Amino acid sequence: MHHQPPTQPRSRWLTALNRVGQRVGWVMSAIILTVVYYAALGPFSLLAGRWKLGWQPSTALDLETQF
Amino acid sequence: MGAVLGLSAFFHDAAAALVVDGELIAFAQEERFSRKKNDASMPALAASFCLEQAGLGFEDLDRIVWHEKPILKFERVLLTSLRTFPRGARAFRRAMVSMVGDKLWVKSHLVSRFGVPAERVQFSAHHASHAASAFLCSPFEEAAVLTVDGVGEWATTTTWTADAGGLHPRSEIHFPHSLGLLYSVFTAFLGFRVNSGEYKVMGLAAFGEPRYRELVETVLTRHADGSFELDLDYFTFHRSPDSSWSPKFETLFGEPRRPDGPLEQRHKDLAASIQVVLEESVLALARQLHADTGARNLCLAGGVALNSVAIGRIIDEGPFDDVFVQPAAGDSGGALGAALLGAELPRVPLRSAAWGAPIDADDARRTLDARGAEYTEPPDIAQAVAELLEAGDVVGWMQGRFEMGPRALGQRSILADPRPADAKDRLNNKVKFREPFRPFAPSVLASFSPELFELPEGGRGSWTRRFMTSVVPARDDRVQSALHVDNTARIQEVHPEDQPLFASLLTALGERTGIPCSVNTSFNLAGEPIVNTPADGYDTLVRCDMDALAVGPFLVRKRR
Repeated sequence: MHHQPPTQPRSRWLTALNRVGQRVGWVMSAIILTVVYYAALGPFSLLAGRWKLGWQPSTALDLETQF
Repeated sequence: MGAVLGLSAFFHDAAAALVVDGELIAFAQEERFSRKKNDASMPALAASFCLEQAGLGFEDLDRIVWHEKPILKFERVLLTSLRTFPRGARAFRRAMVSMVGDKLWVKSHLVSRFGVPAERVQFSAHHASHAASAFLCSPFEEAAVLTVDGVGEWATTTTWTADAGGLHPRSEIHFPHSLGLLYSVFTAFLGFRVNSGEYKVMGLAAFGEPRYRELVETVLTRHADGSFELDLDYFTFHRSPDSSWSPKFETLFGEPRRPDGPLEQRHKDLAASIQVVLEESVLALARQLHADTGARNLCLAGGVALNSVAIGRIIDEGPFDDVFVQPAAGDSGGALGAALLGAELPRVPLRSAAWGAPIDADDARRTLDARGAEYTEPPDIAQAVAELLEAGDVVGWMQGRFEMGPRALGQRSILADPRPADAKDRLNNKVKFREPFRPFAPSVLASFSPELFELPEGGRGSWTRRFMTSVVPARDDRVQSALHVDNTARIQEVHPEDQPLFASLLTALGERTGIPCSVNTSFNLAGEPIVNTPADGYDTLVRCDMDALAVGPFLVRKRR
């Protein structure tokens, strides 16, 4: 048989605190990322233009560039 | 001109192609070596094989040409995120991790992985790679070129003219308006895997009626100039990493089918509906391109060009004198087009698809000995296999260099006599383990083909029939196991001058059965890539109910 040592009251508190900290951290990072996402992309989304419809002119053949 | 390696990867079906002094040396998909179906990773194994074929190393390459332009693709991903803001947040996050963390830095990957100087790395646009593979591999002096797929950088559809002076771009349709993506949405909706289940939708379509055609035309509007647009209210593929259609789509078409769910008539009718809309959309593009260019011939590439039923309709009903689709018309073929563009557009008309790794007789003998296989070395392997086929055996056939593209074309094939009615079910249930609605294809001696099939007049489409890239109706049911439910077949016409051994086998079979024709399906089990080496072939023989294996000069018969 393998016996777990009894959990000390102090370490129980620390574990609980750790869990709460993790949750708070997760919520905070989600909020920060959301704010960053909206702040960073929001203004640019107004400038992003619209989907192009119908036939578009093609670009010339070119192997030199990555764009 | 020198040595040019073309590479395609990072989406699906990674591949490499090598052109040396204007000659095509080799082409191979990474999956054949890595043994991962549709492997999309950097094709290091395929590239090494191609170089080995020429006795070259990476240091000998004058150019490596990547099949698309990463920064232009990144621009599309970024602008798509902005245009779908804020609903595209999750797609944005995933795309950024994938692009910025990896796929954007192709040049660095190639330099660090293969040790080539950065100045030798070049980039061709995705659809330019497709167009080059289509025209430069064709037999035509001049042609119009149409490429249609899911999406490259921005383009989903492009048109070109091509002649001795090269490829001349004309016009293109941009993401998210895409016939390839539309077909893929229905593929997913019908419970199949995107990028590999499209063949299943095409096969399933023959069992249905296009009752939902008008509904499909609600989400896809076609214009008089051949262009088209998707109603984006019905789709989410442009803003979601996990789903392709919106609740509005389900309001129109009902519940999607679960991958393991039953196939109901509604699903078959949906498949028939998207198939007929795709066919007519591609036909409209072809007609418009002919009207604009007056070209006599048409070359097609891109994933949609692998829809052999649509290609059959273009040959039959389209305005062009002749049509060509190379066998690796999907994304893997981008490697071939990139190599040809880098090599300054040499013409390499394909008479055969056998550009992969060869079967080495010594290697085959060593493999069979190592596995303790009982085998013989018949004086005429073609005659020996014909005898087995006539007796009703299912035989694995591994000869010469493996084929380019997704179809087995008599180099790595599973063969059976097409006459018995139960041959199809036997292949499906005991060897291929795949859905019963999927058809098999016949390989037939080209000279005998008109006896069995109703071919277009004047040899139209004969180049597509070398590579199983078009469909024709059968005259009767003499080869019933190789016919689909609608009495059509995606035939391969075999020419003795190009595939002498496979032609000998069909001739020998014809002498015994009166029909020089075999059922030909790819030599793999469900979910696996087509076999490459003798070891792959023997191990597959052991794991299924195939009766025999002909690998190089050796014949292995399974003990019953």
